[in-house]
Amino acid sequence: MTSPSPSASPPPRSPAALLDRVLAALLVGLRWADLRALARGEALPRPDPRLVAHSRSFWLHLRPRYYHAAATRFTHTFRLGLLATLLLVVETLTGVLLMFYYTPSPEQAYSDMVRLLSRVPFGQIVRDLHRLGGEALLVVVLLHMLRTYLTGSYKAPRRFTWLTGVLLLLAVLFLSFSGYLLPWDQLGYWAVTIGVSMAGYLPTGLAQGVQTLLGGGDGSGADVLLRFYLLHVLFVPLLTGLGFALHYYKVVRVGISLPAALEQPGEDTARRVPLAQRVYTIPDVLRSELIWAELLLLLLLGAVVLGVYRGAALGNPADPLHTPLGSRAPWYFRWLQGLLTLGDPVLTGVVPATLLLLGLILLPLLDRSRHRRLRRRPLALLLPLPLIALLLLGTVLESKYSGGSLSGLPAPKAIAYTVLPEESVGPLRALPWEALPPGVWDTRTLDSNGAPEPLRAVLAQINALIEQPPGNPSFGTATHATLVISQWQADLKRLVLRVFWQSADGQPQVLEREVYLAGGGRYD
Amino acid sequence: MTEHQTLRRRRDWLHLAVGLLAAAALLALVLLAVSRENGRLAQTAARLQGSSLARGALIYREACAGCHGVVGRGIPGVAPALNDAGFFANRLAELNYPGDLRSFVEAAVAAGRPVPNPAYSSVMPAWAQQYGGALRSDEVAAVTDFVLNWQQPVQPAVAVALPADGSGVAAGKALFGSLDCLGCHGWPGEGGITAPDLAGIAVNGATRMAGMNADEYVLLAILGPSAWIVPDCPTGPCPDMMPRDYGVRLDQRQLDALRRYLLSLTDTTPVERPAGAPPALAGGLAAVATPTPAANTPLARGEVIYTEHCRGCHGADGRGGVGSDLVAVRLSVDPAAYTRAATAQGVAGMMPGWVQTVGGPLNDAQLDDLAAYVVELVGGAP
Repeated sequence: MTSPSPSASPPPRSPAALLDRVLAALLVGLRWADLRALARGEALPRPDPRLVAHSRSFWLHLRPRYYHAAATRFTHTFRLGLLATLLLVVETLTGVLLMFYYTPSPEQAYSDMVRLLSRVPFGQIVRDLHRLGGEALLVVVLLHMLRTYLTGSYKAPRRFTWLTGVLLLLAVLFLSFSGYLLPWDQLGYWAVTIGVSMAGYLPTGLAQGVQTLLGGGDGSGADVLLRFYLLHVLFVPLLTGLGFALHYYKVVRVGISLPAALEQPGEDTARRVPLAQRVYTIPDVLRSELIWAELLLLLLLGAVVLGVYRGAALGNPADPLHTPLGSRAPWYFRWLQGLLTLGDPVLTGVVPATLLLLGLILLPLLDRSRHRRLRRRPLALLLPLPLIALLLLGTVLESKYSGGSLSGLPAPKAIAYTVLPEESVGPLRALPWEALPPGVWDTRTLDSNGAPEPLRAVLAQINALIEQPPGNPSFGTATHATLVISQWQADLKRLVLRVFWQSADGQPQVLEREVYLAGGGRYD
Repeated sequence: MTEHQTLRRRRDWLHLAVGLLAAAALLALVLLAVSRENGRLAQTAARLQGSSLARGALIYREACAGCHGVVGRGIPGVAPALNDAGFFANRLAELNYPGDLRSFVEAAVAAGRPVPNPAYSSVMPAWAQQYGGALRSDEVAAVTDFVLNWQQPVQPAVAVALPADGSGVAAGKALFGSLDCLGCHGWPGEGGITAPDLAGIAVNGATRMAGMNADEYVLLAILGPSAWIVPDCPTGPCPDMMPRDYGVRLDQRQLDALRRYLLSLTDTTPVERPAGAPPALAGGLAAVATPTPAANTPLARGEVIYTEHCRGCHGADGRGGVGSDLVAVRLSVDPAAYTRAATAQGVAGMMPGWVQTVGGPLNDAQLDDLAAYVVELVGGAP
């Protein structure tokens, strides 16, 4: 095909020429011939139409015209900043869709969730994308910080960029945390309540201030939901946008740090890019970003649609008067929850958390070394190790003593709630409907009572739990259990699990747990 | 073309391929999601509806069963039956209520029944939080789901062909003795108590309903006893009193065993009672002689009456079995008065009346003693 000359005059009238003008209008002055030359790697006319586009277009003027080739190596940045940005976009779009169907009131929120999941086409997919994207965003942000730390990119002249990054981390943490509450189910309500209650260990005035500000007068109900909602959809996103603008402005302005090996200590040549090292935004970087966006979407949507991600759960409706056994804080707060149980909460919880935050903020000031190469800053490699150990210790402590563990309960109760947990499925509810025939099933006769095989397996599991109780055995020991299954209504079965046990003084006791199970209410 | 250009060209092709493949995969994912969405919506709706029903069952058990009965049969003089065909069919017309049954039940739960009904001692209170009650609106909806679900017939047990060798008869006989069959029918051949003697049912069952053989009739009589009311009982015309929930309470194996046992009753000679089985009160409910317990206190007298007449169904500890769990139903306003009233008048469809004025064996003093013992047994105020 013949390409019309860009400088043809008088104005051409052929369809090809018309198309070319439309293209130029859409692509900020880039013409067909320019695209063709770009695709074939041929020389462009002068002045470079790409650079002209960068100065004419609002969106393109936000981007650098070219990057240093060394900074675009995948193993240097792992594209984590880009991924975080893309995830923010995903969160915003899915978040707005979710807002269409949501009312932030305790009366309405849960039934809105039920409607979203059961009546709104693709409602569950949008919710799962939002939840998965949110968790992924937090992970990506943390990895991004780790990368920045390891490559020493927080040092001058990027100290302010690091500070805005810490601000963004806090914003993302709070976005995730406040989002937990909004479905107004037991899972989210108690995760957030446990999280907010950790603020209670702050000095008295501060604790009251934080709790009153977030939780309202009584700390439960309408006030806290509305406040978290507004913070989640309005204030913190605005803050995040602002933080992002500052962050990205500094990234463009100072340039992405080059791999430390290419520079002398204390030198920063990120903005001096030799002609041969230039990777132009148009088309290389944009194209790569488009592909990354595709891959990210593919990953998220694939995980959600193909069921790799099991989906955001919806527990029972929030009940401020009843804490389900096994309630725990969101995963990123568990280390703190664990440390709080270690001893004096101020000493083991508040002080380390404050020091950690201060350390993150002040890191560029505390680290006076000019070196960025890891081998020249062994201390930088060693210092985080005790910190990581502390985080792990807290997390382990939490899972062992306060979180999902039932170890503090009397053994019979721990057995009953392991078999029939309050806010998760557990082995018994997971059985197929036909494997729960009406009758009395005794764990002592599990091999002869004719229980269907899946039920027999659960009875055997109860026996194993009686042998090795998950809870505290000092209250007494379980001897056996019976499970009474009745067909209670059409499509509704009643399950009564009785754990027979002997208290420490030899008295026979029974612990009873009664639940109902609907045929349509089978858990996945 | 330089080497640099060749490399670059190769990378371009790679990018193009990855980009196009990713786009195709995305499109495929979207199409997959679209094709599955209707099924997923229906599945989620059923799941959430089911968990709401299960929550409603628990709320009913805690908040409603005390007056309306554990299985919703109501308690005479206290609260009406909800698990009742008449309730579902006629209640709206009786009240001239313009809405549907769901809105009626939901409104009655939420706001209570402000006008007292002279037939019942209790007034239905308001349960919704907005009217000062304890339930959130989703809980009101859940318990409404549960009550309305009684409209759905329980899937009757599937009839299974009986083995020719009559195995299972012994198990059925044991069941007959331990279920509350015995409390009303007595051992076959002993004449029945408040319900017909079942001796010979394997033969005369075939004559009861047109087109039904004895097996079909026995199954029907257990699962849906109101279909045929035997005209004469030891105490006069038979009342339509047999519980209608055996389809719920018996599992398939129990039902089969019971049928096998009943179908073994071919003649009218008295059967041999299993060792240790309680004798039936032949010839109807004979007046109970004043018992002579070790200590002649109301509690001791009540204990003897309970042991003789109540323990078989309600259990030695009152936690129920075939009969209601007395601990669970003690939640009424005045446990002694409630126990006395329920014992005297009976519970429609579940328990006969025991006071002499309705044909039972107990006089007023004995009822007082019994009530005192039951309250002692299960504890007073909850």
